[in-house]
Amino acid sequence: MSVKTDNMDEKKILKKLGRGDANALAELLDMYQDFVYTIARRMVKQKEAAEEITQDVFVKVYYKLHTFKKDSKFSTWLYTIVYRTCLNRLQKKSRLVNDSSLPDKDDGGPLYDEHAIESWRDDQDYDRREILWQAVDKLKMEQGLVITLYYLQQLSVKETAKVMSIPENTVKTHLARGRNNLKQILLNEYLQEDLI
Amino acid sequence: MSSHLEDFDFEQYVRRGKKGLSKIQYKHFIECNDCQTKMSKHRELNELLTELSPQKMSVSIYEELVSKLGLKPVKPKRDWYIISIIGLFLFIIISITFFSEPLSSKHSSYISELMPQSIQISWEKYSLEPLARAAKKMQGSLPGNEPLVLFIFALIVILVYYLFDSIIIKQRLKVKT
Repeated sequence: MSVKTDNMDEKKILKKLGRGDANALAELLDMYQDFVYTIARRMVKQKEAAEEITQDVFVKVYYKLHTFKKDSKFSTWLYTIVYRTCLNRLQKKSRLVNDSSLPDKDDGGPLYDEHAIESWRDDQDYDRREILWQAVDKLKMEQGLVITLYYLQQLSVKETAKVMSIPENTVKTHLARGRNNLKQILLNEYLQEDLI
Repeated sequence: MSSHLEDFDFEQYVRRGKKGLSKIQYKHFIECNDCQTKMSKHRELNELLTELSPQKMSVSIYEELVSKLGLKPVKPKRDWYIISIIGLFLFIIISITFFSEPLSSKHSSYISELMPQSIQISWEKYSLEPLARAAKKMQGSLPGNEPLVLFIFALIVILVYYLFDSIIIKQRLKVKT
């Protein structure tokens, strides 16, 4: 299916969704659910949280659909919602941690579950894709997100900058550093055979 | 000699080819071994990154979303189905007419008249007799109960239609998990 046809289908789906058609929602989920989830995973680093965010995002999409400018790209608008929803959640989480009487465990490091990664490492069934995602998850959040938006979602630098509300040059910097760090992680932590 | 290419220049070259670089940059690139080595390393990582595919959710959120948003499933337009069903119905009617006609005694005698003698013998001996017998049997039941037969066929067609329709709708509503 060509990009033009995809866009036409997408427009039809959005129109139907605007009228409250549940089938249109199913089709939209079919198209974007996994992408939304993948971005959320990169940001919150937790499976369950990412699933909740994915659901929240589609609720927001439904209620804010009338604010979407039809001449712009739907995916860029959607990923902006994902990004902001994740940021809000991370900010709330960070506030909760600060307000808590428990010692602050957040040392600025990644929020991923290290035990899960250890057990994952022991699992011999993982494949190349999972290795890559695990490596991406070890990057700083912004770098991992830029890599995901740029390579997986195939957004341009301009679109990525729009989603993250940052200058294009910052995107380029994140992209360059992210790539270098990713290369180092892959070389240091994974055997060459894992990736071949 | 111009300065070496930067990371993003390599990226532009990988994505857009020669157009991704300015003339000066491209000239530098084809003359600079250092940049070419960096480019091949860049390509290696890029090839790896293009293998990234979206991760899948372990649960389906469709049902929950539908109830949360208070949406009601809307049946899709079925013009295509109706056309195909009418087509199927017509096909059955034509089939019945086509197959019942040659079996009638009136037509079998007409065919035998048209046939050469040698074929006629073998036709009558090996084909016509059993066929005629079968036709006679059918004549007893078919023409008399024609409306009943058509009614049964119509029922089957409607049943098949709903069966296919429900499967297709289920597939349409099925959301990737």
